[in-house]
Amino acid sequence: MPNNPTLSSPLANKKNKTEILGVDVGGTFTDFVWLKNGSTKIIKELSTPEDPSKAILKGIEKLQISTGCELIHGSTVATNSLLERQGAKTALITSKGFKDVLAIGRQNRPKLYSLEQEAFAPLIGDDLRFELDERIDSDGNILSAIDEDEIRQLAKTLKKMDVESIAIVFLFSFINPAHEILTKNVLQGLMPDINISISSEILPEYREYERSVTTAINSYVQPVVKKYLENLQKQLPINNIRIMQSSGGTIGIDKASRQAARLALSGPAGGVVGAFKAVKSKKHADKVKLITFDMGGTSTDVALCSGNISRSSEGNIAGMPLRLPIIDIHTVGAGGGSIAWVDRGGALRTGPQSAGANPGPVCYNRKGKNITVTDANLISGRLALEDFLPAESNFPEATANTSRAMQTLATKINKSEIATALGVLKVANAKMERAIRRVSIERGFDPREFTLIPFGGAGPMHACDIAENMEINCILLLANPGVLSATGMTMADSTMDKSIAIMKTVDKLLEKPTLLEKPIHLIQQKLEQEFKQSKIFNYSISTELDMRYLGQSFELTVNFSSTVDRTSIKQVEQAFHAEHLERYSFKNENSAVEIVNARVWIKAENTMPPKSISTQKIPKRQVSATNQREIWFDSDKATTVEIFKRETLEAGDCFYGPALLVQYDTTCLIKKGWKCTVDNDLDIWIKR
Amino acid sequence: MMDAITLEIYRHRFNGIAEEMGLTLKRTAYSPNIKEREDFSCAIFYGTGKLVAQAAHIPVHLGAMPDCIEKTLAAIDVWQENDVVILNDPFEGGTHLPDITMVSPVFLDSDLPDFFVASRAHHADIGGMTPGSLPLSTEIFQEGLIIPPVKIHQQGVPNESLLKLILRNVRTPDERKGDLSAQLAAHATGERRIHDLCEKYGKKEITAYATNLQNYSERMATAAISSWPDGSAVAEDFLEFVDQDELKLIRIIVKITKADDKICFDFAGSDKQGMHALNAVRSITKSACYYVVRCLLDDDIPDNDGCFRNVEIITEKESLLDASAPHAVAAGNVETSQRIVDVLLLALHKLMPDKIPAASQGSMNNLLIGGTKPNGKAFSYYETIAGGTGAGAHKDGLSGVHSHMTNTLNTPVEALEMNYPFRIKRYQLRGGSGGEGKHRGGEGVIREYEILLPCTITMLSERRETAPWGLCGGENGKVGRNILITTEQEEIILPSKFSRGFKAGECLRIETPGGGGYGDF
Repeated sequence: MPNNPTLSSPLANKKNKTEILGVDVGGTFTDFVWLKNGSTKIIKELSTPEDPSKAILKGIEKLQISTGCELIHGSTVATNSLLERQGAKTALITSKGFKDVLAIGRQNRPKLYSLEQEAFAPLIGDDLRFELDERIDSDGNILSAIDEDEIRQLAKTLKKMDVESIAIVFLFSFINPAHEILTKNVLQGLMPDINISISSEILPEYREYERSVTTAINSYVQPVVKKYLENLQKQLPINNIRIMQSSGGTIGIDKASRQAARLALSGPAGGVVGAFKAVKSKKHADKVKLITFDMGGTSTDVALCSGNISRSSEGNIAGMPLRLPIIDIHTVGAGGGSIAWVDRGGALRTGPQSAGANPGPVCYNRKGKNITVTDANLISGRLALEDFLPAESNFPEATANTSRAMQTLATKINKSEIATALGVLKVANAKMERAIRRVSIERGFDPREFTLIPFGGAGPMHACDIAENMEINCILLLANPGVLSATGMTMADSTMDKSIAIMKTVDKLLEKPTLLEKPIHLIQQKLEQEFKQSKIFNYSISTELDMRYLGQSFELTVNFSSTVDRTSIKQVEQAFHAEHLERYSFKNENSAVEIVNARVWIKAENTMPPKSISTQKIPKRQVSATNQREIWFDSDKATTVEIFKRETLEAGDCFYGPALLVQYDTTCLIKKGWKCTVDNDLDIWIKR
Repeated sequence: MMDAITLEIYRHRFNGIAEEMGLTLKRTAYSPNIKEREDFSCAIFYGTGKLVAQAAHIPVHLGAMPDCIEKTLAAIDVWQENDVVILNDPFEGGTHLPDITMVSPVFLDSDLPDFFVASRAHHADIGGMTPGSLPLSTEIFQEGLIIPPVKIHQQGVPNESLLKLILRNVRTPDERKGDLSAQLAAHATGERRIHDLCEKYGKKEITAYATNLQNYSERMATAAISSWPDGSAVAEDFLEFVDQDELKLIRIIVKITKADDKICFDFAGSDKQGMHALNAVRSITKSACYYVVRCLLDDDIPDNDGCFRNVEIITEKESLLDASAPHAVAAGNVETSQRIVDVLLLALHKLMPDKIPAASQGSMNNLLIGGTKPNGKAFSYYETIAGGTGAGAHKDGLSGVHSHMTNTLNTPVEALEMNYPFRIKRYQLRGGSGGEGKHRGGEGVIREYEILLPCTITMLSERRETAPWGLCGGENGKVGRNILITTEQEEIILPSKFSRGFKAGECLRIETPGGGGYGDF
């Protein structure tokens, strides 16, 4: 796991930032979280999808932000251009005989049991895939040298076709990148304005299909992202803009413009960073064990942090593998808008269809006919119409419509209206629990040791149920769960990472440690150079190794020491055995261990001071509710629960469930047996 | 008493366990065939042997896994905690010898097993006359080590002698040992999860819902089958058997009868079993029938015993599709199964023309390369190659994918070349191989191997003579070709099935069949 600071630069830059702005551009709203001199301001603006910078500019003007402020931006430009296939006209150049690797993929069909299925269109079409006569073998020897004339010929074709971007992927370039570099240089000389991505730079790791796709994705989104960021820089009166990556760290605009694929899965990253940093500011980092639970309208994102934010290189976007570091987030198609239905076998189901924002749940009273999870929350008393509908809405009509639709569903499964509503919630919860199992139990973590952090519009409503089913005993409801993503951006560290293929056994490396030391040193130097160029002088370096038993195909990532010598190599071998035992319940100490890749992370910690809060102990005070509501926990009888208003709570306040906690962006249900305590940061701990 | 809500929750619970078992197996396995190509399945069975949940990557395991448990239950008298049974005997619950199955009982609180967890993985070698253990055999004894259902772990104690015996009979013992450990790790995961469920919800509830889920699938299947038109239809198709350079076609014929909510597949009249490796045990015939039915059911119906209660399958004993010992069966699983699907689809097309597509490539193009590395260690490599799928009434076929009874991934060229003494020179779509039509058949693939050290190559392929058929005026897909390219660059067409030595510097080019087209063009 990365980000264990192991080395600090002597060129320490101790000056803290004083002002930082996080901007999260969503489909409907653009969220702003502004920290200045210890105080926080939060605003929302309607998004302007035709040019997102308009909404950003509006927010900046409203907040009267100075040019010296650092702006951290989370953008879905890369993601959307992939989902909508609106990227640049991109060419792919491969080794001779392999231009179809991108089209064949891993040769499996998407659906196992379907006689007619939609063909998957490769990101780069047949007419834009080209081959060059070159070949390098698995030891890096050149079998067939590349001919520069052939490259020049190809350049003519590419120019004629008005290609906007180029990806180059040759076999075994992760061992010997010479041909990729040469091809890039020759082409760049002839086509100076075209971006060229080479696979040995984007992802120097084995497996040609995954490397090809990742490189192709980068080329495909790069011109779009670059244009977007240039426009942003021009429009905004701010000098220092940094961009959120899928890994949860930020990079400068230049780097983001070149390695645009790093942004592709950054959407849910801000929330996880926000949750992690919030807890880290209260606890020692090693003790931070949390599961983030971000439940939105159509899907739920779940991630686990145990001492640090866990990362993975097995991302997927628009049906394609993206092998760059991402926060290890598991997504399921269950959210507030998920539609409930009864299938042919008589089982009650929720999703994956969603009522979306339009028409939305039945209770929105916009002609929606299908019961959704949100409607079930309403019928069972967890939500009230006045929580989310404008005051002038027709409440009686909305209530009657929802009740009627629930009745229809109830008849199908032969249950009462209330029992059906509770059933919809249970089924939706089961889906989300499966996501939590994925990131916890299936990775060898016991969820009972973790704190659940719910956010997103619907997360806090379901948190207690989910926690009870997973036997989790602690929930933390952060102060502003509705803008956690933008909050996370203000807290994100600046990071870069670079990997390099090693492909050697531990025995071999013990014989000759320089075979590991040199490549690690090389990429470390490159990273340090990049940071210094961006005027970042205070950073830490950490190294991780992808390891496996010789002969296996999947690697475990293990932290590595900063010094490469026989002792540290022996240590990391032991750490690998232990990790394998923990993950897969067996180890094989007699088997040779192989180090597949080394990855170096460089990180400049976000030095923004936390909110200025008093640290003195505040006496506990039991608060009383402002109102009451009838909630159905089981279908026999309703329970009267108290309603608390978040804005009236102060540090030290405590109260007991069953209760509802209402705030402007979400409603949290606290079940019987849980106790709520407001801490000094005005975050609420819900424990049992 | 079944509850619509709890039912849905248990679907997630049981499927989650089977999937997690599969994940463990994949991540800890050693042979490319399991770890890269996912040629395996994991499943949970009720104590009676009925399937509860299966994480199937490979349709050919669909009907065969339940048969396997049935045979294992018949063979093993006493089950004890922490036993693990191993088997590959095609006549005792297996399909062909490389598929090694393990079965473990799960005891909740009684003396008899309440559940079983099982895994089946295709191992890259299990001995026999040619590397990869899919030889051109005439009786089963040539195909490798036969393991009847026996305990490899007895009450948690590994039977080291048995393991020694197995490993001594295979070409790549280290890899086998690793893969077997991976299967055991998957079982440990499955058992632990079932115990967790029991602790939390009680045995009564989880066993009740294991049954309820099966009944649920049955209701889903009944509803679907009832909606198909009643009637009966007959179709036939052929396999290619090369006997001393002479092509002999082997016939498969089926009569399908659909009435109300029942469907019957009667294979009477198909050829007898023969002295070749294309014989299939009945489990495979069942898998092929189940696969076709499963494709016509709703997408997300849970795979369990209930899905196929309305399906009747009639085979004649000692026929090609219900072979008996000691007949050779190596290719039954991988090739005959594909042709059974073709025959079924051709017949079903007469009943529901707009739901059934033209023929797909109809082969798995099994390629096995074995020999000795410079360091003296034996190697054995197995892969199957994608092709085109048939076009349908609404869409074109897919290009360069596996069809019907398999869906294994390819081995990355870079993974392969780092581990074996051969090189891939081309890996491309085979343009023009898909049949023309209103909708076009998918394209086959060209994969060319350059051999760097002397080795033995065995190829089991089909549709080298009889083309994947088009439908409703669509053209046939192109037949496949296996081509030897000598060191003098001479091209020699090899038959659909061969086993021969290759010299260093020789190349083998496989061109896989395209899918049939659909509709006039």
